[in-house]
Amino acid sequence: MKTIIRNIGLSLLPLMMLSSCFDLTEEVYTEIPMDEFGKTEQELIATAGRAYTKLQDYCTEQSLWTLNLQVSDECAVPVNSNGSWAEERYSELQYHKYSPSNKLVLEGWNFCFDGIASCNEILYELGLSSIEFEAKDKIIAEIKILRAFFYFMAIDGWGNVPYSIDYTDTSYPEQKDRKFMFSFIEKEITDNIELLDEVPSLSNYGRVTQGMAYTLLAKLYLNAEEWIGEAMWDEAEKACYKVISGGHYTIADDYSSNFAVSNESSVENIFVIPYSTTYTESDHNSFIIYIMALDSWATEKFNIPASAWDGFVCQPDFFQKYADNDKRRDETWLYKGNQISNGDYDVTDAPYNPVFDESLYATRRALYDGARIWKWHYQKDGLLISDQTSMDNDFALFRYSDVVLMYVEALMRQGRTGEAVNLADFKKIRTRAGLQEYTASNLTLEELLDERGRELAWEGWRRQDLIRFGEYNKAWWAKPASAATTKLYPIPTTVRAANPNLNQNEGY
Amino acid sequence: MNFKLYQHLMRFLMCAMLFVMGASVAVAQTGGNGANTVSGRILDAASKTPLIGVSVVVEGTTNGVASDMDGRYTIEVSGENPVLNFSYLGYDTQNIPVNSLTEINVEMRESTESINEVVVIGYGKTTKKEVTGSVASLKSDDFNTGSFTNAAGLFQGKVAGLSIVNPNGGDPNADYEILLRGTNTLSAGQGPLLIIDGVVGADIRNINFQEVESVDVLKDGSAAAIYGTRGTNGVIIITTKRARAGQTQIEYDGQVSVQTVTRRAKPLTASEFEWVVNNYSPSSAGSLYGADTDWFDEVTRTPISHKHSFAVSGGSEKFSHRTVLNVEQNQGLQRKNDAEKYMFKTNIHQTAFEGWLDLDYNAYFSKREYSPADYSIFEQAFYHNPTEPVYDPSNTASGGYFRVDNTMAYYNPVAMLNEREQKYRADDFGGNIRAVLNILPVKGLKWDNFFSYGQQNFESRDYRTRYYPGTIGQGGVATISNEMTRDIQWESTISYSGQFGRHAVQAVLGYTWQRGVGESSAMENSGFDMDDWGTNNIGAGNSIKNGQASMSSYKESNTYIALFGRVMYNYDERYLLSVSLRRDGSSRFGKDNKWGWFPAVSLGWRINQESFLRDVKWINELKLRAGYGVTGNQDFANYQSLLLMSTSGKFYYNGQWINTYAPASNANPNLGWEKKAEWNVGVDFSVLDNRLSMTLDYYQRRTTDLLYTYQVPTPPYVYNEMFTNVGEIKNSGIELTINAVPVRTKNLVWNTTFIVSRNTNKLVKFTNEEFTDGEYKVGWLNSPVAAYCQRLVEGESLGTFYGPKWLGVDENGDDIYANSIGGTVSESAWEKIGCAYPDVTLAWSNMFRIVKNLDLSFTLRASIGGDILNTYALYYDNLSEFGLKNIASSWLDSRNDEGIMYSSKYIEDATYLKLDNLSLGYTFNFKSKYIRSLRLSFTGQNLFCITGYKGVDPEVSLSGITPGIENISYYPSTATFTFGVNLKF
Repeated sequence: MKTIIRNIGLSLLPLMMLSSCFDLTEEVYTEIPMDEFGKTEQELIATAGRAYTKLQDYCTEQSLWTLNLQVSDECAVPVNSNGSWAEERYSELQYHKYSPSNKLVLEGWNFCFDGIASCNEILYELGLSSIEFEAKDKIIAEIKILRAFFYFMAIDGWGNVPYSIDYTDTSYPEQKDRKFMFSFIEKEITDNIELLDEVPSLSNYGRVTQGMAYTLLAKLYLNAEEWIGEAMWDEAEKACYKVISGGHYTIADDYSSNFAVSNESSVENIFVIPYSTTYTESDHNSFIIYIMALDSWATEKFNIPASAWDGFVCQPDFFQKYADNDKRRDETWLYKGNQISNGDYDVTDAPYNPVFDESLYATRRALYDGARIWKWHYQKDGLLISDQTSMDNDFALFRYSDVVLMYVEALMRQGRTGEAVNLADFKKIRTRAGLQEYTASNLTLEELLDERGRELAWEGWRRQDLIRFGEYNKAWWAKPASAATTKLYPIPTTVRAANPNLNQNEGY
Repeated sequence: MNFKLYQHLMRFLMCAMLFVMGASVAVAQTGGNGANTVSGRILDAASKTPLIGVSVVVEGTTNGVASDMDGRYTIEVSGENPVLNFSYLGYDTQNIPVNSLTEINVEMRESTESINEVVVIGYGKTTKKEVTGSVASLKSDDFNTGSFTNAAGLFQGKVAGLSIVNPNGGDPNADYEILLRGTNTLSAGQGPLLIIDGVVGADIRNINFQEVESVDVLKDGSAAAIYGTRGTNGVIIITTKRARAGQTQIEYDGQVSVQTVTRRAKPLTASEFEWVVNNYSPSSAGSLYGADTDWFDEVTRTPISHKHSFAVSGGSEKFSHRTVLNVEQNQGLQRKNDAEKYMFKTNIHQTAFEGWLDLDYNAYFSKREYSPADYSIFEQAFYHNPTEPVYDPSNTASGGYFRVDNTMAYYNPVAMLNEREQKYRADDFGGNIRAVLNILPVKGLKWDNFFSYGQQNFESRDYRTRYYPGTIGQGGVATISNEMTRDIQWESTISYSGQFGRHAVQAVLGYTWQRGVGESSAMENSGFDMDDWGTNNIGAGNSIKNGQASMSSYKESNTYIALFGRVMYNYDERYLLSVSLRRDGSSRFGKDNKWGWFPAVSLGWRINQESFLRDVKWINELKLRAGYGVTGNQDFANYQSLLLMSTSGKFYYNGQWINTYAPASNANPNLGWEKKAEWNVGVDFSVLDNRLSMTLDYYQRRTTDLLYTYQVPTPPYVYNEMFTNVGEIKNSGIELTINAVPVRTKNLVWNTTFIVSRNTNKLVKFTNEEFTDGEYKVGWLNSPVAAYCQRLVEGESLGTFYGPKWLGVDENGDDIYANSIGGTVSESAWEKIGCAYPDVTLAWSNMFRIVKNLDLSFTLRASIGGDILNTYALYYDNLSEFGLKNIASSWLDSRNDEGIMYSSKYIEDATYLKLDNLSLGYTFNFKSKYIRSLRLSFTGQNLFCITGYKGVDPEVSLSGITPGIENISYYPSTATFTFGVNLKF
């Protein structure tokens, strides 16, 4: 019996030795615990780079860019010939009847605030790291100005936005108005601009430079009157002049080169979102306007294997703003009558009928109604294989001709039209398009708005321009006149649910 | 070998060695006395026919035999005052002292609802009379008959409070959805903890349903608390048929079944479509293509399936085994939707050292090869234009299929089916050993060690040809994914049971360790020069050169450890008490939250044992039970509490694309488990020789620290969601089970069971200081409806539909809504318009045995109350998308000319009555040496459904936080007719 007891005791031993087996530490294999990250310069750069990847969301199917396109007069998404695209989210935007639950309004908001949140978190991580390297201050300055850019886009769209710049403060952010945010953005830019690269080069391509920062500042001042009720044309003029006088950018001889498949060498693009067919492929970081705009005629023409959705077209009235001899019309649109036939592209046989009746917007347009965008000429290498495959063309957010046109506007607003029409770069924008230079007598603000429309078609600034020029709420094509409150988007329902400090914008 | 696994194996081997050492000492101490021989004949008391295979064992020994063809047995008896123990499944066990008799003839009575029936509880067994928690116990006689995709079908409608629904119609690969006592969580898993032959968290697909011997369901908190953080959703313990001593028995069970569609969504036919275009939608004239295609017919077939199972068992009391081989070939209604299964399982039971050591080995291997159904094909077939032809030989770009250009997500369903090959394969294998050291000198003391290993290798291969509609242009897309999961468990318990006069004690103390590891990898390539290779030459696709192929891998693991103990005590089988406590830890929880306590206590009072009732012969059992227990739920993903960096998008830096890194989620270091505290009171009542019995339970369960993904503001958070513990849900309900044997004569026996249950759910709390938004919208209905149909609201039940209240139609036939302003109802004016959960669920099972050989059984199941969203009517009973897409044939009746608008018009009563199963069987018993019995059966399942619901099937998923929404991508339900043969040799 004793032996048995001893044996039982012995056999209990393994149980007692189990202390190691009360270990519940999680073993991680595919991710890296945060406290083990950020130990080298390369890791910090990889972290900071994430702020830039947030820009890649801009040109996806439902994003801030497509949102701003839909509410302006340059784009339309009518019900197509087979009955597709009847979704309310598009017509709601087109008619300026957007609701707080509109998907594009939400995605547009997310573009801004995901970017801001990432910048905050990156600045926190960079601040924590004791690793010092030469470019660290520059990178911090870049991230701060990138955050200012996201805030700029946010107040452009929504006006009154949550203000949060500290990752560690997890209390509900306060809602601030445009005036407050305006000063914040202005100060962030001016405080950090000197730390940035002045000269654009391959090494800072796609990143924040002084040229980018001054352009952003110029855009801020240009909209000051509309946003904070305080005209700042002089400041806008000076910020534009900084870019112009720097001499690092010129108006390219070939308009199309700025949008080409390989447009890295553009002398005109100031701040681009680099896209790559290979490296930016998914539903949240690819540039896929070909999927939204093209149909099977065009995909066959450009050797695009993916099936396109035949949705986005040019609004007929906008198309008619081009003079017949404006070269940009053929460079920008596929339509019946396009004259472009060169070694790379021959689109003379495009079947699209650019002008069709507004009544067809809600019923059904014909198969080839509506001019199609091809400003960013399509690659013909057969690699655009699915609706998640990005075009290789880099998307210019800021372009030098935009700066020149802003400069012209700032001068005109100060009564200096004569000075403006004599500007060489401004003249070149016109002559490049095959058009007559403007004279002080024929350049009105209304004409300037149209010229901005033609030069910058579908580049994302039309809504802001229409608002600043007081045209946004007027009736156009299928859209009736809209309420002044629609100049601000509603704050999305889910966003307000997550932050009780946010009051809805007026009118929603 | 994995180092951890090795360590545990060594640990186990050490224990086993020590067992043997201990046992060998004891062997020498037992001896034998003189022996004599007893023989006799065993008959069924009612029919006076011989019973074959009755187990006859000398009590307290392992000496046993089984009765033969004529019910005769002969056994050598030794020892002092030997007692013979006669037991037979489904009959009352009898203990008869030998008293120097040499012939003992026995008449055995069929047990109806025997109070001595064994009930399996966590880490032990007890008897029905002694159990104090709410435990339902089913034996093979109680099961549904017919053919099932897995064993859960056996007990559908058999346990009050256990809802088993089949939301996926006739899909041969579908799982049942099991839900116990309402929805107790918002986002953690809802399935009960499944224990199969001791393996915790086992996969029900790895057993053959014909092999199930018993099912025990631990329903209340006091019963389930012994499983700690995994007990909240209840525990289902499945025991398969075990090795049994006796002569070699061979059994063949075969089934062949055929299915027909019972309910499906019906679109307009081609001529109706054309008529609607001409009369109501002339602008869609371009959508008339002149053909007459029934797309549903094009993608379906009449499925025929067969299942075969061979079992061999036998052996001595010292060494016995049971081995089963199972082969199945199942066809789904959708063409190409097939499933094959091959399973092998063996159980060996061995005793050694004169009863000191019991060993039980299990090994299994199962192979499933299947082609999953694509539910969206049924949806596409529904709305595909019936005037389109299937084929268009002139369209070479689409591979000869008819295709409408420039559409989004509108695909030829026949091309979807034909141009895609999906082959999935799951190989499961595993084994376990249970070694029980019976410490014989202390009667009732045992040390039980259980070691189990299980592994699943899963592979999916998917090839979409160059003509697959969704990927035309990609030149064929090949995807191969692999997953391997491993599960290692070690459980060690010391248990004791003893009787001291009128005091009976049963105690158990144990430790358990479980580790799960999962590894997966996947690759995809496209751009193949030809489709001939399928997935077999994945490197040949050009996309890998173009940087458009993809590759990924992942690995994760988790560890789960617990210590637990339980004491059960009763005085005079009259006053019963059970107390248990578990200390549970899981690696998934936050750093400071790894461990928790889970206590339980339950009491029972068998009033019939009191002196004032003891003599009332017609009352067989009257027991009151009350219990309280705390359980948890940790069924969610690993690593949720950690702040991890994972690869994010690519960034163009210095002329090169480089990786960036991002936090994987908003980490929550305080993450803990959901805690559920449950009260249960019940009464068990059995009268008239157990011919009428009843069990009634009332429960109240309160789950706190509910996990949910809350919206958080971005910034400051990097993501707009945070998984955290906030809310509280209450479920309360009542369950009644009545068993009766209204007729029991020589020629007719009628057994009937009626169950009814009602559960009320309430989301008590959903907010705290940090998350103050007390209302979440859920149940998103895709464009063009674009609305959330349900809300999570404090004080309301989950599954509550909110929407515009439809009041009918005005004189112009236009819909009118409450609170409508200009035809629309603002979301703030939406009202409560229904709740998905049924008020009451009922099931009525019946079994008739006629003249001993013929049996007939049927089960009716009903759900009363509860609302359902008729999604098909909402989307397709209008002309909004008509033209490109077809619409519901019901439109011809409604002629609804308004746009799509979600409202109470589409919330319907989901009450239904289904005849789940009707089975007729005839058994031939033979006195031949070679064949013992032959049973032929014919079963029809899902034969009818009586309901006022106008949609496809009122039986939809009730789990999750958006129950009661009929899915638009669905699998039609079918009726199954099965012919079965069972042969015993």
